[in-house]
Amino acid sequence: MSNTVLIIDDDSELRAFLVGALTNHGFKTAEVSNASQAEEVAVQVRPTLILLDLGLPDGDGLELLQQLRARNATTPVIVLSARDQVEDKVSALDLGANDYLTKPFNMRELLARVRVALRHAGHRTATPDPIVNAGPVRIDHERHEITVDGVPTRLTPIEFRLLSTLARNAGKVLTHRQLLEEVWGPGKETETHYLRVHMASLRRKVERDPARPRWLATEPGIGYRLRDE
Amino acid sequence: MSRTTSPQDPFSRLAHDLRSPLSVIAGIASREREGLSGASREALDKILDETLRASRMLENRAAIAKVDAGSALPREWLSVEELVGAVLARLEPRLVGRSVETSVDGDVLIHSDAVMAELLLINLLDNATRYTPPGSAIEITARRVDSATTLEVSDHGPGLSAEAVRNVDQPAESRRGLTACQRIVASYKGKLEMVPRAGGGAVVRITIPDASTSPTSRNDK
Repeated sequence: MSNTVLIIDDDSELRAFLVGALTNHGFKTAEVSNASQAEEVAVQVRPTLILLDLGLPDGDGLELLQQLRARNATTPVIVLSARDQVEDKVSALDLGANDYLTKPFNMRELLARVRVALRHAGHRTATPDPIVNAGPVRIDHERHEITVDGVPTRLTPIEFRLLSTLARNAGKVLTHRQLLEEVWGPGKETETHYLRVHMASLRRKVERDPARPRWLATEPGIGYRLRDE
Repeated sequence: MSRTTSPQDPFSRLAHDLRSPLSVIAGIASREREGLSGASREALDKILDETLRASRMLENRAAIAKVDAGSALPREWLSVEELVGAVLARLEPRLVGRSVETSVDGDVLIHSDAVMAELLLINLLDNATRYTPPGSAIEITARRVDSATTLEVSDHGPGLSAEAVRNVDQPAESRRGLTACQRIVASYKGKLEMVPRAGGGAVVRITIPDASTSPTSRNDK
């Protein structure tokens, strides 16, 4: 593992800030300002993680993401984007980006996203762990049991699959499409209403106050994330 | 192949470019505030808060530009409970020390664009915190009335001048930072009202009518 974060962003001050911040946290860094250099540098430095600004002036961030993914399917990519670029974020996530950060972001968010992405990248096994812990949730896949804060909780089969999928990806956003595909199977990718209904009942079973969820976070227009810290 | 909806008009380009320096400012302020206390920490909190306010101004301005572009804003069915939860999480630092009471049933939906709906709620809450004493309570309610969704944010501040109640389009309203809300709501053929709250304070009420049949009225499963 090179432990190098590749920063692809057109703003030199932001790149300099990210270099400093990541270096302070023990990473090496490489930086490029445009899409055309990005592919070449990605091959040279074999980054452990990529930060990719979706609004590059010389090209299409999504196109670059596809090219990076075509070469390397596993290096985590976190996209940097504006709040209102919802469609772009969804496209990026469905194209295999691991997560996104909305500018302006703070250091804590950045480092949390990086940590989560690296953890999931290093944890790609064929068989999922039989026991998954995330926040207050503990899932025993073999015994098909769930506890929330140690209290056994009865879930419907759909809720179980939903929570299990979110917990296996704890800390990481999952799009509506990804969740629908994973839980309901192919052909249901656009049925966001199912998802909304079952997430609402799940919140009632997992959260103390479903209107102010501590763990099951909604990313409006994008998907859901099970917070893990 | 999907293409990034890269902002090409000069305003959107500027908004994109400004987000990078804002990220640097927010990043440095959030780094430096760790390990500080007292007045220095408060100063950095203020820098962070104002950075977020500046970026919210850009979001509001971008929303107005979208409305002005003329084509109907996209809509999808959104859970108001989820929107409120997301917005409260995002505004958490601003809401420290305040009681925020929510009265939103889990099945209340709103037919709106996600970014726009989030922005509406953010603005209402931001407005309620900015013009009321620190620590005063805020209430959020949502309900369905006929084929429309009504959102209300009530505060316990000094309330409204008679002038502001009479005419929400006038400068008194823009002073309260609701211009973008007004424009978004109008483009959804909805209504934004400000009324005095019984017992003191103000209520800002937004009503957005559906543009198609709500999925809860269909038989699903």
